Amino acid sequence: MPSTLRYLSSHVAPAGVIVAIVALWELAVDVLHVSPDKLPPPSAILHLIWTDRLIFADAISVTVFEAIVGLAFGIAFGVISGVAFANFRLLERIFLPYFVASQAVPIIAFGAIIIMWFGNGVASKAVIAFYLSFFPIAVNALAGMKSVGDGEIGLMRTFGASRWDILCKLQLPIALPAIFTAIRLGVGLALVGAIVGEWFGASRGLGVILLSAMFDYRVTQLWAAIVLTGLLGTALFGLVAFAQRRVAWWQTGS
Amino acid sequence: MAGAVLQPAPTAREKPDGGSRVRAWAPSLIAGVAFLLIWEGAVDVLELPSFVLPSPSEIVAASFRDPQTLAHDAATTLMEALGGYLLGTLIGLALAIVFLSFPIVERIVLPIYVTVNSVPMVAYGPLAIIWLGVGSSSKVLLITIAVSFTVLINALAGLRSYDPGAIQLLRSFGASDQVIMRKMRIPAALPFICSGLRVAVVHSMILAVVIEMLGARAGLGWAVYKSTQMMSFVDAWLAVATTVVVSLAVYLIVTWTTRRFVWW
Repeated sequence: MPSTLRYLSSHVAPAGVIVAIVALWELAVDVLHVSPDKLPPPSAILHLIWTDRLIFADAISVTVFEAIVGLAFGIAFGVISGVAFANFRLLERIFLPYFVASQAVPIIAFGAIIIMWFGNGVASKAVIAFYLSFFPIAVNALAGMKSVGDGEIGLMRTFGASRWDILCKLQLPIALPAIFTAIRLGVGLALVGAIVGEWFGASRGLGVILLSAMFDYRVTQLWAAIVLTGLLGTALFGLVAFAQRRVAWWQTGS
Repeated sequence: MAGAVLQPAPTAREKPDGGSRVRAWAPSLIAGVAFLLIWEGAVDVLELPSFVLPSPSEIVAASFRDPQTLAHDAATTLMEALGGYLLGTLIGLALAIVFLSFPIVERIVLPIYVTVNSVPMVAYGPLAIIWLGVGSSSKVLLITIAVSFTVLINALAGLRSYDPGAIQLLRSFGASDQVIMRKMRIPAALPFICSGLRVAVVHSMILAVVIEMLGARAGLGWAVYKSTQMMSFVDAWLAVATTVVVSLAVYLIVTWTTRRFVWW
């Protein structure tokens, strides 16, 4: 079966490489007597994740919550501005350049100021997560809305559809796959926003663990947090991809 | 991570003459000036203390107080960002070519690359500081990894975006593999690579600033961190504003250069 072969070579082979690297890492640390302060073996990292699982679970729940609140606002704002830009050309001309420029602004530099304005809690991290995630969603919503043909809009209009009908029944459904693709990108950005936001002032979260582990030279804990961050990002990405297949099922593809 | 591949931005805009270019930018320029004026006015009228929000004129005035330190910080951050950016671009392009020539290398190296990059690069920041210290090398290393990944993924997507029919046509005229690469696949890949380059330059600045905040000897991120610790908020705003100006300038330069490059 050629399809089985293709599956093997595209999924199992990369996984094999990763397993080999991890095994090599474990072996090298053991044989070369690398100090665990420099590079802990994978087994030690996994062990720490297991023994500190309650601490990590708490941190992950805090960080995920911040990221999702920020992303939710990012989706709402992104879609609304995409719809507004697609319908009102003047708004697009005034504000789209600023949307683009906003992406060249390292919001993280504002981190300390945002904490001062929005406090030490969820809000300040959600603001950063929001800022990082809204742009791709707005751009893709706009592009998706614009991909609707004039003929299709005209057809709906001749059947007496209102502007609202055209928006909800034609433009938004057509833009949906593009919006989802942007959300896949945005979920990772929101996670970064939440973690970095925690650096500027927080008491719980993955970012807090990363920072305190650095200051106290707890390298194994640092690695555990890095691994968990990667897994978390991959899981959130997968979740959005899954939702995309369920909600925008008519569009096949990656 | 298919999400990392960015569609080429619509670069194929016809070149506007001077007048229409001014007209195209006028609404957003007016909005920008209005924004600054409202900001200035609001701070004045509401009598906001500078630790809540300093006015633009206060920030500009602060830049004259110690221009040397500011210039040094800006230069440090810019050097780290550009150093990592150039290294990353070279490595990304080189890897793309190696991957294309030797698929076996791709099968081994790409999964490692994807795994490393499945963790947001900022999360490696603390580790880089522990391993490489607070100097510039920790920033340059992380920027290099991040940029090379973006460029690699975009270059691979671009090099594979060719039209198979066109290749067969060229081949039937007796074109060699090298000619096909030069005439067909590289031109086809350039828009992808350029959009990767545009995204990556912004990332480089952001990463440099973020990692500097964890620890550095100089730099804009370090300046932001230091001045917030010392509660001198106008200085923090000045460093933030400088970061914004430098990032925008670098982004515009790269956008402009890549537009020249891919005029089609």
